[in-house]
Amino acid sequence: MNARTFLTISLATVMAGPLLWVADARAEARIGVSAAVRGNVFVRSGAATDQRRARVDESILLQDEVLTKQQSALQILLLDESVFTVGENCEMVIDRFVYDPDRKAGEMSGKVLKGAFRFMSGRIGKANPTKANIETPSATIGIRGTMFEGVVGEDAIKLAELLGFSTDSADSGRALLVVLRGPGRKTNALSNNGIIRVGNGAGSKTISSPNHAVFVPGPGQPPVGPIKITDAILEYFDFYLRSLPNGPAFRGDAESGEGLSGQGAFNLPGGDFPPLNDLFGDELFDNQLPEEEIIDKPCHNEVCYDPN
Amino acid sequence: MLKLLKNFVLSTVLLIAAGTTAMADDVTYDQILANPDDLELNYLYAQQQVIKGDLEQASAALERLLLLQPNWDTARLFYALVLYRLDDMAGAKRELTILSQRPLSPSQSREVNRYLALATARSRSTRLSGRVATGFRVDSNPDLTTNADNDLNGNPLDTDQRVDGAFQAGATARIEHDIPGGGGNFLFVQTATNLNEQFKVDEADYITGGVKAGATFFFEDLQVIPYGTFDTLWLDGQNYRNDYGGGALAKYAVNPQLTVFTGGKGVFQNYHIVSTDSVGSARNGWLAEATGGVTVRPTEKSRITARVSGSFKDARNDSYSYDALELAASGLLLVGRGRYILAVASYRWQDYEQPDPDYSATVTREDKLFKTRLAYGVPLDLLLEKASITGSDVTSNVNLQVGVNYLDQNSNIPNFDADSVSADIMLIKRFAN
Repeated sequence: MNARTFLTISLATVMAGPLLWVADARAEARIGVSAAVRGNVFVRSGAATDQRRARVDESILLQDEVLTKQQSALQILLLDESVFTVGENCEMVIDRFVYDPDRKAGEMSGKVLKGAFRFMSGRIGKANPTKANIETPSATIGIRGTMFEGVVGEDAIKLAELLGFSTDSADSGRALLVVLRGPGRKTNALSNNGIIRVGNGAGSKTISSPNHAVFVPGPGQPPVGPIKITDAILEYFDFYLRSLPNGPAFRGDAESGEGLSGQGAFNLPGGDFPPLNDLFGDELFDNQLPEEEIIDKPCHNEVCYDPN
Repeated sequence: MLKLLKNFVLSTVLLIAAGTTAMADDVTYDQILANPDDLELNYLYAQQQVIKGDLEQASAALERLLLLQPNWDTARLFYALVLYRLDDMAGAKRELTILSQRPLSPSQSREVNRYLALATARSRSTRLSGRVATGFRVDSNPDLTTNADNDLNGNPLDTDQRVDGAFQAGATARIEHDIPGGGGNFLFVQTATNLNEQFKVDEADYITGGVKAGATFFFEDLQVIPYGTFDTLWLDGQNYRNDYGGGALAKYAVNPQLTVFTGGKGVFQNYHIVSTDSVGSARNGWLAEATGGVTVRPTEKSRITARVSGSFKDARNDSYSYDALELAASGLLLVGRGRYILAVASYRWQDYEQPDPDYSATVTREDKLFKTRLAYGVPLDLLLEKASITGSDVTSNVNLQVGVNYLDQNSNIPNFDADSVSADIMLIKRFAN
């Protein structure tokens, strides 16, 4: 190593140092917490090759890779109130997360490499929809204040076949099926109806009605749909991302769901009976003439009309 | 009326107080991040988010809670109805179906069955919904007898206003059918009929019928509704007027709190002579209407709509042609447990094109019409509950509604000066399938 080479390396090290520190600091940044863990879920941090078993109430850091095994699920709460739920055999990483809690805005991007997942957008997705998206091997999912579910891999193809999509050219490792769940246009909450855009270089599709799906057979292939999903598709996501009772009732309280959810207040009359009567003021006021003037009058204002 | 106003003020104060209390006991998101598996904390957080109107966060908290404790049936019922409110009917149906197999209290079971039926109906590709109503009305001046003593020529007018009661009934039905493509677009057909049968003042009897068919197309936050329409009006068993035509309405949701709308409609009005009105086809002609306005939702339980409309009638005889401008506002306030308050007010200026010689050879009629209505509705089941009677499928989705109305018309032709005060009481049953 001559002096010139040594100087170059030293300079590069000095200049790259802060950048590496920033990158390291970003990698260490806490972006959320594991909120519910079922089965065998593992987390691999940054460049580390070893993975640790996920526990409830454990910090999730930027670039942490989440891996779930069979019959497992994990729910992650992100700092902006986004919620990521992943089902079995899933690989997921949040690779970009910037959030300013004062402005309730920022930027977020996650990657799902395989498996089933559910995402509910938080403050970032609501404040600036273009700043929140989920990447998959086949397409990017742009989010506007919404709840959706998806699956990457072989299962996406099986579900697409159930919906009647052509899967001849589908990539078994990277195909994507996405389902919008809500809020729908008939929500009675003060929420925008959810919209997601599924796109790649070959095209883009928008889903704006709940329980409709778009299928992307593989990278570089255009998305197809949307199409209304069937019960079989719902059962698939329910099985992997939701729970079923498995024992006697917990607590046994008898509170009303209407009361708890606020739905009990939403007794929308949907119009009024009787309507304010605009119907026939003409006829009523015509009777304001003296009686002798309103008897049979086939001619009016000196013009005669066909009475029919 | 005073009692109604008092109830309204009291309800509003209670709502604000409830909101303030909830704010004072806030569970923060930081607390949830620090204790994500605390069942009670998540349950409280979900309740709090419902009060704040953030149903998505409530749903996330309940989802988490059910992953941690899947046997908490009340939390699942709570979750199901949050999904119902978010218009995720498939999700709501799934949770309600699970609950239908669980040991619940009788009232919870009734709730599960009711919402399972509603969610099933709302998620069908072809949906039927509607209402039937019946009741009574009393009116100080049902046939709008003038309150002016003399006409323009000084002749005395009949000012003998007759207070009368009436039996009223009405029904609407609407069928929607989804257009494939996933955009949420649908076709619709709706019918409506109203009956008013006076006890004494027969000239104010009427039956109306109407059909409207069209489609609703969505372009993200814009919806466009083209339609065709037919309405018929029968007075005392005689066909008085038929309207044929169509129109279109466009609504744009600026945000969840604000929607703007505009629309236009054109109908051909075809009049017939009846025993109480001999004008008949002199009034025939096109009626064009244009309207625009805004709907504001200051809170999720209140809604105010304001609109301005212009009408242009081109009748065969210009004595019946007119231009009109109308300002109207309506409000809906949900005051909890299914009770609601409806308020409507409108003011209309209507100027005719030429004098009607029956009233004046030189003075062209100009009217100003003010109308207002206030109604209060309460679920019948809530009233039965107060009487310790358990509701049933028959009483479910039935509202008891009382309303008061005031109408005042001022005209430059005294014959058309009139006012009336009325009150009505109706039972309204809604259905969906």
